[in-house]
Amino acid sequence: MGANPILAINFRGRRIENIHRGAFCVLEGDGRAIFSVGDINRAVFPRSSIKAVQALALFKSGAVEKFSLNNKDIAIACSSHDGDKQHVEAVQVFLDKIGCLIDDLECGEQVPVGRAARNEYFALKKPASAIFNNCSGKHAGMLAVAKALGVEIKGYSKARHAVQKLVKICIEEVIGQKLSDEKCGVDGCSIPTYAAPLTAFALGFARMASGVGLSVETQRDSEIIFNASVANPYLIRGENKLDSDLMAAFNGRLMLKIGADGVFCGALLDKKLGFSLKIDDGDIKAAEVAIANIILSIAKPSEKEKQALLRYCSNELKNWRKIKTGEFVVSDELKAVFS
Amino acid sequence: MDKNPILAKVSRGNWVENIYRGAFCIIDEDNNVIASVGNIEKEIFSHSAIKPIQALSLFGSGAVEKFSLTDEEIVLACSSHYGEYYHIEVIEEFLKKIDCSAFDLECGEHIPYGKQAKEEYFSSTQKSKVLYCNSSGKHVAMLAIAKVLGEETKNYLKSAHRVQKLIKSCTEMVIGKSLDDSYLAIDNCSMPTYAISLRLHALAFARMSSGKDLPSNFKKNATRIFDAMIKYPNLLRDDRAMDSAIMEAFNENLVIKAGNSGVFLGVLRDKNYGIALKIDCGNLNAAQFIMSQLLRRLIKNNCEIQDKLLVLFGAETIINASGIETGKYIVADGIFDELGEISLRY
Repeated sequence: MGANPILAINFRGRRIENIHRGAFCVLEGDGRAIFSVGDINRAVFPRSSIKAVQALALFKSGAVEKFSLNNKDIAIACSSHDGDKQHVEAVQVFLDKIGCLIDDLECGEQVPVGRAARNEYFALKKPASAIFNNCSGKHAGMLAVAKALGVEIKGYSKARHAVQKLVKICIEEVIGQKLSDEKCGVDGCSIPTYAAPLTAFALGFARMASGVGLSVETQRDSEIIFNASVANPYLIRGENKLDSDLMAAFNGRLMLKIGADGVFCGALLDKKLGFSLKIDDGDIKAAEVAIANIILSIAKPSEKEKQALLRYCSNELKNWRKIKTGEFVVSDELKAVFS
Repeated sequence: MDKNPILAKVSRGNWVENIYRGAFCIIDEDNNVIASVGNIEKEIFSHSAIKPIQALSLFGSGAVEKFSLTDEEIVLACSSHYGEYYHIEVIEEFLKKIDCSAFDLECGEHIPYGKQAKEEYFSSTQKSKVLYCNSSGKHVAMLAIAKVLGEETKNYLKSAHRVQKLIKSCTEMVIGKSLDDSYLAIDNCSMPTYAISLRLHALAFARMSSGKDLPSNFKKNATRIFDAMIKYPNLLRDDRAMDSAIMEAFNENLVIKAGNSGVFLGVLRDKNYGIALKIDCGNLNAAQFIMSQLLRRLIKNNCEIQDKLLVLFGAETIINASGIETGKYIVADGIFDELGEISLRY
């Protein structure tokens, strides 16, 4: 197998400590590649980066209408949240709305991901709960889909359940290709996840941003989902998190979502471009410096946007005494793509 | 740039999700390559894996003798401990012995790895949080060295301080190479760290085991360090950690130590085979998987308990928050081909 190029490097002092390879692409709604690096045809698992795509099932099932779901509900369904107060509250409101309980969630119990929430969790010796799971919002959404479809909610996370079948159809429409059971796995939160070429996910986001190739309903629903997400950037993830901070700074023109194991998907809504990134070894920090540099290069950022991006374009590495030990930067190969 | 081969893959369901490149080698006391994969001449930072080498300076300075250091204290000097009460107890005793306190430690603090330690770290107001730092034992040892050298303990982490100069010269002795400032960086615990090739790391462990080309006292001191690590694996890390658990099962023949950023260093003592591994991206789980799998293939006629442990820590299965199997670790084809012949010697 040919190796993907090095995208990010972790220096200790002046020497390389760790390297991270990967691939990314930036596409227009008609599939034309604007930029690409590495093997973009290799199938990758998008993980949580496509929650905004999966959220289309909320519309297709009639759940949005039936439960009068608002933008906050839709945003939390697209989130990989930190388990902070605002997130837990939003999930609870959603569950109350659809008449479900925390016990109905099949995402598994988790310690909150966010630092503040986690410290509080340990200090107060809180019990573990599925509501802290970073995917609990999406799972509340899936419960809503089950209810709207009028099917048994139990087992909604299984691939053969009507909810997951509908979610799969939604993804297939957006990416314009069939998902294969031969490239299928179970996600961290126990729902099925399908690997597809990196290009397919960039295309999906480009199509959701541009409407190209989508039904009128899906065009409309996509717009609502993206607008709900960018209007609630901190519900999507949390304080001091790259995707939340950048969406907030870009003030409505950037949709961005992280996925576990080094994935990002997103769209520049004004330019109607979609993009996707996967780090081969799954490293999140490498994915972060890479995606910040990619957005810096393709978004023509304003001064405010640029300042937000620069915070993530390189990462000073500090040790336990906050002494600088090195730096996380993108490779020359990545920079060369845009020169 | 030349690239290392893929050592491990992680699948999700029936498709590969992540891949891990890296290099490893087995080197004998004469610096012969017994087996190797990838670029073993490239310098790496070995972090905590090098602590047994750094501990040689406890002997070189005379601190072991002066403070009548116990095996438990020597292990703590080599440890990346979990911050549990049994670690903290030894560290506090050690500090008292050398007439220092937690305030003298310059390692900094982080959330400890141990389960109970974590709760104490957040709730206890009595103990200094710096004690829970996984490297605090090594830092007490460095304070002891400063004391015995008659130096100020303050700033014992500066590369110009005599403590660090002594550690550097002990390291240079066992790797057989001088280290200038171009190899220098700062470690997570703020002490100076030097980039050293994978090969020389493995050679150092082989030589510490055999004593080859080292002053006579080095072998004696290294033997005490290795014996102590094997005797108190629970103090070295924790019984839940791979290196601690596996050493315990190997009847004094195996020394192994994990380091941050995907590193393992160790030695098979009966053959004086030094072992070194680095995962390019720094992933610790991939490093643990590959090291367990490597040891399992290397030592073919291992006893049942050893095999059980290596299977446990080289576990292929990955489970999610709900306990569902989502995927597995896979050894890349061919990377252990060279080990077949070596294992016959066991």
